[in-house]
Amino acid sequence: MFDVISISNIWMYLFVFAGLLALIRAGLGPTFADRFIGIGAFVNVITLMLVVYAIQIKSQFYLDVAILLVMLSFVGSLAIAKYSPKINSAWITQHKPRSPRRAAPLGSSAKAEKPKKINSAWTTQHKPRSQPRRELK
Amino acid sequence: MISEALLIIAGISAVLGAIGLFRFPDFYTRSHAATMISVGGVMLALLVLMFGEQLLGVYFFKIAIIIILMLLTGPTAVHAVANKAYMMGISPKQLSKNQMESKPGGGRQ
Repeated sequence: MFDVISISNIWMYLFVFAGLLALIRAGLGPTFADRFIGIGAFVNVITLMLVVYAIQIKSQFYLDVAILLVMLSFVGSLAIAKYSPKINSAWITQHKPRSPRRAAPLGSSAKAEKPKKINSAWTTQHKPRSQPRRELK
Repeated sequence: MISEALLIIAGISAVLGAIGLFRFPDFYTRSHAATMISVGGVMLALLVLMFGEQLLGVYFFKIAIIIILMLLTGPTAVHAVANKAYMMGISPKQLSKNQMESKPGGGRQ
């Protein structure tokens, strides 16, 4: 048995820093999955903080709160995985550029600019599909 | 002594995982970094707090329940969300070859 906070609370500052960074990642994650990752890490840190607080004030109820928080985080992540929309929603900001034929208005003489070529091995080493992918609603 | 060292190791690993959340380029690698926060940081600290209390007491069992729940639910949740992300077409970056591309419905449901 030892007093948690009075020994050295450097590790708690480290955890708070890690939780804040995870929260920032949840805020500016480009996809929904990055947001989930940040929120999951933040919930884990909050669980640890609840356990530390329960030990510090010698109350067992905050441990129950921590157990429920872990369970609710699990349920929320499964809900994200099941009910998130397929593609092209506002949660995803990695939009593919529209095809130039559709983007250019009718009768315009301006040449449609080509889509930007991404210089990565992912796009260059594979042949394009025979049919373009249809974007679901 | 040992408990302080383990707690500081847990905090440092959590900070490293949080830095990895920003340094890694992709969702799939960021999930690895978040796992480092969860397992290397929080679970190690919970183990230290569990054995710091009275052995086989109420705190011991409740913190053990928390650790078991995190061990059960964490990989399941990350697997479900990663599966959904791959089905939605979030492609891994810096990958030389996509092995799922040749399969029917690879990268797409």
